[in-house]
Amino acid sequence: MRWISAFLGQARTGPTPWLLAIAALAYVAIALQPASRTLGAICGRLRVTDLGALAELWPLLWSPQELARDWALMSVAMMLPLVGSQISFVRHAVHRSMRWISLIVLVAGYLLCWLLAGAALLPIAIGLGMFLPAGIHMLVAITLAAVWCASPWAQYARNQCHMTNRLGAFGLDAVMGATRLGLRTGLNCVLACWPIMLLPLLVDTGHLAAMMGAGVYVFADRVAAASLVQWRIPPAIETAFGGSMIRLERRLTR
Amino acid sequence: MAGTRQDIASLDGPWSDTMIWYARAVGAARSLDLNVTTSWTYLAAIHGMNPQGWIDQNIIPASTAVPSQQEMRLMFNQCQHAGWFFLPWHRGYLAAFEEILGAWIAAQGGPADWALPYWNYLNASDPNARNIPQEFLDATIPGDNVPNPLAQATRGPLTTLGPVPWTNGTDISLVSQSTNSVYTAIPGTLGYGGPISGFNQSGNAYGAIENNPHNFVHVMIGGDNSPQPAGWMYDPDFAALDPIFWVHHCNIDRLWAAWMTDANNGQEASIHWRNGPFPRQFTMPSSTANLVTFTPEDTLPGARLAPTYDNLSSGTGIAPTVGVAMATASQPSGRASSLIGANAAPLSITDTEAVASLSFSPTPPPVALALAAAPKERLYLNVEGVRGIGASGVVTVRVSAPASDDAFSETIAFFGLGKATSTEGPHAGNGLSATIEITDKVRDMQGQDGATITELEVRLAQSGGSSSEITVDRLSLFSLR
Repeated sequence: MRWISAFLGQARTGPTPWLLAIAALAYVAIALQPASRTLGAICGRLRVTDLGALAELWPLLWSPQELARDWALMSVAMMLPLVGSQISFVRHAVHRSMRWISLIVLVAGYLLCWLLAGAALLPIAIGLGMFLPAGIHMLVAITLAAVWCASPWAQYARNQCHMTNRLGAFGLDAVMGATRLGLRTGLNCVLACWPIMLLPLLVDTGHLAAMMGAGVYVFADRVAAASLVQWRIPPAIETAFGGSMIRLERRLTR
Repeated sequence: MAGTRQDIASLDGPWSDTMIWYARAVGAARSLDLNVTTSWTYLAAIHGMNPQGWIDQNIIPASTAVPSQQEMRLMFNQCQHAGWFFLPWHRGYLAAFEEILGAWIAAQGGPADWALPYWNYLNASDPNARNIPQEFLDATIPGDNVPNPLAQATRGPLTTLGPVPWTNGTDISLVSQSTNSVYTAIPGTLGYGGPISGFNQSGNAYGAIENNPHNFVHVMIGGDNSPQPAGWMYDPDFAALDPIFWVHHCNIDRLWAAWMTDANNGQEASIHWRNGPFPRQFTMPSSTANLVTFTPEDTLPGARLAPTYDNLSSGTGIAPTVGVAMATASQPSGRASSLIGANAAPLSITDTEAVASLSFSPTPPPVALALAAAPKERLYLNVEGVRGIGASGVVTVRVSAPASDDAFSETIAFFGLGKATSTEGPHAGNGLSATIEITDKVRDMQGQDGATITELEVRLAQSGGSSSEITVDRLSLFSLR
């Protein structure tokens, strides 16, 4: 219980409650869309072997505005809660006259990276769905995510997500520093989490639930501290089961 | 159940029963391998560990059996520095250490109520208080005629705590005991116990008690061994290998216990602090090889990890006013800090000093006017984002104003600087920060000269001759109203 209380206590401080509220609104907006027009429904149902679905969904693929809007909603819902510590840092590090503009450019830079990442991730998701047999494409995506999240490259990117840089206190210096921080955090967040973002795109039913599951996963990944760059059990797993895993392991090996 | 912790100087020493058993227990723990939770190296690695450094210094063989990677991530490198949990984490750490050694001592027929003693180095009534206790210097344990494990440590040349060249002549003091009545630092200001933080091995800013005397004792004893590596106490990855670490921290813990007994002070008691950090929590081994999690709440007076001391007034700067081992009031609220000034560019300090101009925001008004208008306002100079390759670093900050002939200086010991700089460590390379309260000094400046201070000049210097670069992201000025 104390573990949960510690989480709730920590989550209450800083911007996390606000970020979670905005994320919840994004989830609601996604839920209000017609189920057949969500990104998950599109990517998960496209098969080269299913000409009917292909014919039905093909026009949607050529609607970049809709795709971009859906991708933006997904990014806000899943990724915005991850930038809380950087928001706290900027909030305290710049003069109050520059606070709002600095926070806006920080978040804008961060989300911009995710929007641009969509241009690469959506074709990958569509390609996996179209050319791999049903079931196999999900297995491939999960394996890819598991290997990547355990890799030193993902850990390097996660460490970078915890890093801050010098911020000027006033004027353009403050804005430039916050922009740089947002872009760098966003870029590394994409590098750390990209295969997790693929997963909700590949389910043809339960897209929203998959998104929320993946959102919780990346949040658990991000609240873990930076660590040595090496192959490891992903931090999200250790966040959830770390102490219990060690105790079990010790009991088994004693 | 541990007994009462006592001043080493008050025991029947040198080589009182308490110290002889301490030495024997340390020796026994040293004979165990790193993968044993009650071994000396395991206990030290909980504070901090540099595997290759330990191998290089022959502390462990390269082929030593180690715990699993997951266990090392859970248990090792836990020490909390420059953050909110410095005091409660070290209290829990001392309790686990004491329980493990105490159980071994009792099993060998020693006193069942053995307790870790403390080194009361700031006891002004004892002229020898600052001397490293003899038990940590003798080559053998008297009577046992075996090498003395308490002396088996790499240390600097110092045998008496005091101003030395590598601390820029700064001395240890009890100033933090009497000048910081609030535990938690509001952002940009100074508190007794540190600013709000999560699990931070090298966090964002030191609390007052951590900077002095804690950091300075580490740096003084670790010392400057050039051209050899600095002593173990200089580096958080080695510090707990030195048996003197434990009696030093026992005294720091006692200073906190004493501070809490002053009714003027406000111990943090929010549920956020009491429950500790998330997701990583504080976990310690026990004498029965279990791993036990604790929270800061467990360390407060009356709780299961709260120690008992023989004396809370000697060498603590505190005359207890609310009885021994009483929790004090919760945080005062209603005050807020704001950033009012900063310098323009990052700084580099090598063997020459770095100079920066600290200019103020036009709103609120310049410092002089603000101080005049709000007598309760306090001003704090922050040295932010300090990085360097040395395990620790010492920086002297000299502040002057163009409109005044006066200047003042403060010295900060950045214990754990290298660890906070590493981009592969849990701190992600964000460096350390330190805060100095400058209200009265700035007031003196403007009072003596009748000048309106609208700019401060800050000079940063390392101890003489140091050429290892230390960088500083920013200098900033915060006001607290």
